Amino acid sequence: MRHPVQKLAFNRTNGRLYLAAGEKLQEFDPTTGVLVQEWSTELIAADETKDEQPKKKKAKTEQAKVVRNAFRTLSCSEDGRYIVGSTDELKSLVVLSTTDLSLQYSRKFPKRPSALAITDSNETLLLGDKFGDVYSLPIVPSAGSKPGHSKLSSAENESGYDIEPIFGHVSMLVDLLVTPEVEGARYAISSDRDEHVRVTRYPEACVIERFCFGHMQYVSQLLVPSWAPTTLLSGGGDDFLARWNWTTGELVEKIELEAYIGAEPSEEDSEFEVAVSGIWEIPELKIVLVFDDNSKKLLSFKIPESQSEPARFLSSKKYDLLDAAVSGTNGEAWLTVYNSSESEGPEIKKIKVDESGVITEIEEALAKKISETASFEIASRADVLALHPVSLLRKHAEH
Amino acid sequence: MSEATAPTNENVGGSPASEPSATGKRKRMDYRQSQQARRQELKSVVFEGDAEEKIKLPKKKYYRQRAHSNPFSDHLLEYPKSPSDMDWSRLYPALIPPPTSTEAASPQPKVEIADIGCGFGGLLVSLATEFPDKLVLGMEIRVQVTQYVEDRIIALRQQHAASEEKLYNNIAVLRANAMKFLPNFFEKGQLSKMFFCFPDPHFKARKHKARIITSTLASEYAYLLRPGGIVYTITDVKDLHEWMVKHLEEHPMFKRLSKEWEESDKCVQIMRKDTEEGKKVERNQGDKFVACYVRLEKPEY
Repeated sequence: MRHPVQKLAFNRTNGRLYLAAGEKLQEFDPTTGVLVQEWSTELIAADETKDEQPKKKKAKTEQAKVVRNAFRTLSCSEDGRYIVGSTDELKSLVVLSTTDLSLQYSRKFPKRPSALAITDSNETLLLGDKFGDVYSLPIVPSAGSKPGHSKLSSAENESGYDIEPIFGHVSMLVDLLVTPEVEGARYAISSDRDEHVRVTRYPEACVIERFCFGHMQYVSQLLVPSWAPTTLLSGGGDDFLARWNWTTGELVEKIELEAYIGAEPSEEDSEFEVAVSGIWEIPELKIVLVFDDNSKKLLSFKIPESQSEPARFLSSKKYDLLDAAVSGTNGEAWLTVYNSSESEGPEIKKIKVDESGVITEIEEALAKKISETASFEIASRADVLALHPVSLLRKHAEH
Repeated sequence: MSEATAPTNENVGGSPASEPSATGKRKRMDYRQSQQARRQELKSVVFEGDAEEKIKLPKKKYYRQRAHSNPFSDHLLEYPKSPSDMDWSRLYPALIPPPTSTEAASPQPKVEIADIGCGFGGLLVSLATEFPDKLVLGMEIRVQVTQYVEDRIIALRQQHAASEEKLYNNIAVLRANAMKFLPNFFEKGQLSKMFFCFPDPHFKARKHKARIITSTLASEYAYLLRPGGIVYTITDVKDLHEWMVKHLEEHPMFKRLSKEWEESDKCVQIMRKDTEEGKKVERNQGDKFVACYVRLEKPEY
């Protein structure tokens, strides 16, 4: 069978759609549904294991995973020249050129990368890891360095690393962004599993400017809408979406989600929990799409430019959404959804969001063609990745 | 840290194998239970006048706990959502009115000195009399060690209730993971002194990230300290000392204070002689390494 597509990215410069299915990255021309080119993390995995001495690993009770090195994050640089992702087991950052999907460089990290942000200068990217450290790296490798995969030396495996984190949390880093310039300065905003939303100066990351306090659960998604550069939206395990003025730390509005999600009547005894796993903006409509992974509802909200005006809920639609990528300038977006039918496999949809926030599926034949072409073969459904990892971030402490 | 491996495991009865020490264990449990009951009652009480019966200082041997804790694990911790959500009147009842009272509306004193990983509270108790007009907070991640310090403060407060200065009302302790949640307790620039006395050395290279001074945590300490505020470090482990010096030295927000400054500073003297670890090192005639840093106004690259 074919593995579902877990991540999507859209390149606004060349109009191409990138799909990450398991370990494979595929580039599609979304106007024709034709597969243009592809790349696989197998290429760096082979490099990594080539001259590795057999290491005694702790005996694992669970069966070895087949899809070991899948893409966990994927984004496209603003200038459209690079596609950047991070992978599971190899804990590697991968930078590919969008012209021919050639590997610019990849590098292994001591801890698994969990968040990725590209600064809008298109020169630097920030990478946050499972233990809260954030590294700053060039997108374009420096002239002297050779392309290809750089491994960790055995010394680095043990302790330090040849690059120092520029800042860090003592908790899993879950999301990360670099703000647009506000009064001549730029900031990095980062969130973690311990309810923290932090505003750090960038690139002078030794200065923590403030925290945005108010979350009581993990914060998995951050967005600064392009039409409201001092506004921050954040969501995760709390039953609300927080709307902040991140330049002051003020919680402007708590957008309660329960009313729009609606607890399923059949699951009366189950506690009402939210797991926001995605927030995307549609700039020309000043609308954001918010996905709750527990109720499987994709919600649309109007976020006014002025913080004195409340946000407005527009509509909702049920999807078992894995990821989305806003594509055009007219409210269009690509979705990848979990296909629970017998064949499973990738399922790609295209939607259009209108001015009133209503979500309609469009170009179904084209989406179907892409769904049928996208291919990363696996033996059985047991090999499918854990595709809904967000709710696992909820803490269950015992002592 | 798994509960099963900790010597604090409170399984009643125990297996036959542990029989010889069962009475000792029983005794420890009984002691701690009676202390616990009293702690609940007296933790937030303002003692007045001379009590007929003085509360005895707690005995350390009943509060034994493994010396290490994993700062990355999700402990069941209580922490405020933000500094403004913190009710400090429970910790400093004689000095801070409860948030519901009418006095609470006027500006209240704030904690200015933090002892991170205060252990059994030796430094904290000395700081109480050194800075009688400042609020000092000890933070400790180990439950029973925290309880010992709580009981120690209760006893000291009650014993000195009749004295004119009413000492020890300005110190308190709470269980916290300081590596994760300090900004939940303190506002930006609230602190003037932070103490890191004999921290866990985390010897293994792969555990270095669990050390209390790292470049990334130093940024957080710079956020909490006001300009001119001071980070105090002391350890008997040379390797850890060098590590702390390296990371603070490289940090653009901190500058090391001179040996002469160290010699003239009262807190350095207290830190050398009044911490439990400091005393232990003294007995074993070991070395003590001190390094103090001032928080700069602006980053210096």
